Amino acid sequence: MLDNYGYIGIFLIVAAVFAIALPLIPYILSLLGIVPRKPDQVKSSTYECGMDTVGSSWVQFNFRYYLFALLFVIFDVQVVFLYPWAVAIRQLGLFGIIEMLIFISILIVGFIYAWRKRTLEWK
Amino acid sequence: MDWAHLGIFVVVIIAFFLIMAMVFIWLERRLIGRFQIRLGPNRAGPFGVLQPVADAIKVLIKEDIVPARGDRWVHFLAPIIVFTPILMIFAVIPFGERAILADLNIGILYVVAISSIGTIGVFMAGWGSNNKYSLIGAMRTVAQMVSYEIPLVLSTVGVVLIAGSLSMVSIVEGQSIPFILLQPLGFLIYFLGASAEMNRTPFDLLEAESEIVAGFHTEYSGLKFAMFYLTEYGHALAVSAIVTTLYLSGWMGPGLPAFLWFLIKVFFVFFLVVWVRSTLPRFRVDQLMGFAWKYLFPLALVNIFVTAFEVLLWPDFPWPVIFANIFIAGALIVLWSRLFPLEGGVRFDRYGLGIAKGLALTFRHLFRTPITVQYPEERLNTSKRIRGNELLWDDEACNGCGACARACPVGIINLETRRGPEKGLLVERLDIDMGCCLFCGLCVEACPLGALFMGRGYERATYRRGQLVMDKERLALAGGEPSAYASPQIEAALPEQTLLVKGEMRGSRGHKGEGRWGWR
Repeated sequence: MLDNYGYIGIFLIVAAVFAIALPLIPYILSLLGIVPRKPDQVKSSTYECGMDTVGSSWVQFNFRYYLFALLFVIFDVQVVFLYPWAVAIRQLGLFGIIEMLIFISILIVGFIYAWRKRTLEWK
Repeated sequence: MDWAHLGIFVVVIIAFFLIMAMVFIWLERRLIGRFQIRLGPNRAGPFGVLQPVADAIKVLIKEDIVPARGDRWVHFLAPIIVFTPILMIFAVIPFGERAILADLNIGILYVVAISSIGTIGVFMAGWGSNNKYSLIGAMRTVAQMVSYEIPLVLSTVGVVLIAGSLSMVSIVEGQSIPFILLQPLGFLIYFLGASAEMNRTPFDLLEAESEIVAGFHTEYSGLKFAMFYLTEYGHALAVSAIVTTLYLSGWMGPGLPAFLWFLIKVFFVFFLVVWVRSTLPRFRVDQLMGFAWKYLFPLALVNIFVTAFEVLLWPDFPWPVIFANIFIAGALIVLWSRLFPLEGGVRFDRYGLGIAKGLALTFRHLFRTPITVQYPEERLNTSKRIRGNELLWDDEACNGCGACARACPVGIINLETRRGPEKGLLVERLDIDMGCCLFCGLCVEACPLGALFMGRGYERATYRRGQLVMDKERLALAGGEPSAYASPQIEAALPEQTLLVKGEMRGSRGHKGEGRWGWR
């Protein structure tokens, strides 16, 4: 079984090397003179409407993303608990389902609260 | 550690990924063409199969432009971080019996975990470019990801419940009945969530070319852009393979070899993806978030518990349960739409019928003759009275009165005459600068003798503007095709206008005699 993780690890290395090698190809080709490399000020300026860009685009995010992110983290963690439960459902039986219903309904109360508070609407 | 196994599968997976991504690029462009009654790319190689190769060569020898105001390193790393995890997904996809790189006992969890890493890369691309369009695309990615990810992951729990395992191989082997029949609702939710994850229309908010140029990869060119492009199709391939494995019983099937069954199913799922893409318009961000949170998420939860009870009550899923499941899925979709309409009273079941109609319409388009005109080889006959390019002048009929030159509102007709030996005027020079022509036709209307005609051509390209000035020889009537504009005497002799080279063009509802040309 542990072999499989070894395969994954080696494949990760191969895939990463492959992915890093791809953007280096045009660099090597440009040394050979096949790919042009003529940077100029206009070409490397920000693609917008033709005028110079006003201000930086590195801005702060709207805080509403944060509320969604919080909900996301809560329910994503909940899913992590669901997976082992799903695998073992035949052994756990009805008890397991009721147990999980209680667990989920606690979280669902929070979800309903968020819904009623209109957190889920982008306004 | 079996090094031969590892070596073979690493090579096979990378080759499979690259070749299939190119096949998918070609297939999608051809399919979308046919869905829109076009031909799609057909010039490079037979049926255009070499089109992706041509694109690849083109993109390989393009200059790599890095925005000056951006973050060089983030800009460089982003395509790598997007590309690697998509390739990694294929490590746990069973291509056939025992044809799998690593049969992890947490297969699904691995897929779910690794396929969402790409979002970080997309965000890096948007942030590192320091471009407002890119950043909007990146923000949309995050908003999209936090919404669709939960229903997507929850819907796979239903599969795990039935299979009783997280390993991809066990899931395939557990499907004596394909799970799409046992999990119709789960399949729909997974399909929608996966469409959002691989950023395909109707969920392609982060590139949305009609709104934000190209979204997160606005500032990318050359091979880095190609990596995003390759990743998009690689992801489509990965999702098709995962759907095949989870819901369509993977490589299992009667008669044909395992790998062939796998490929057939993968192509089928990809066909569905393209079909949906060519039918539906794009969602808005808040619509997508509302749809995922208020609609898909509760339904996915209900689906899990329904499935859990079914697994306990009828462990081997008799046929009645299958029909009951399909009924439950339909009932839940309709009920939830009634009970919890979205903002503005939007009910998703209302759209259900419309979506089905739209899908049926685009499917019918597949069987219609494409209306594409293969331009240099095929040409349409223009309207008889077209005011096309190049005026035509009848030397015999002209008496040099100069009415045309006086009528011209832009004064591009230069006429010089001298008195003839007997009577009347002889035309010495007649120069018309077609580069400035308005094609208003006033000169033709003004001519009292019908000596000037509009041409019927529609191709006018020269290397120099000077060549656009037509002199007497080039205006000669004998060399061109006159139009019947203001010259009804020649109308009967001209060929009828054609709107289609092959076949007849009919409206989508097939009303034949309605309007002269049917289509409009």
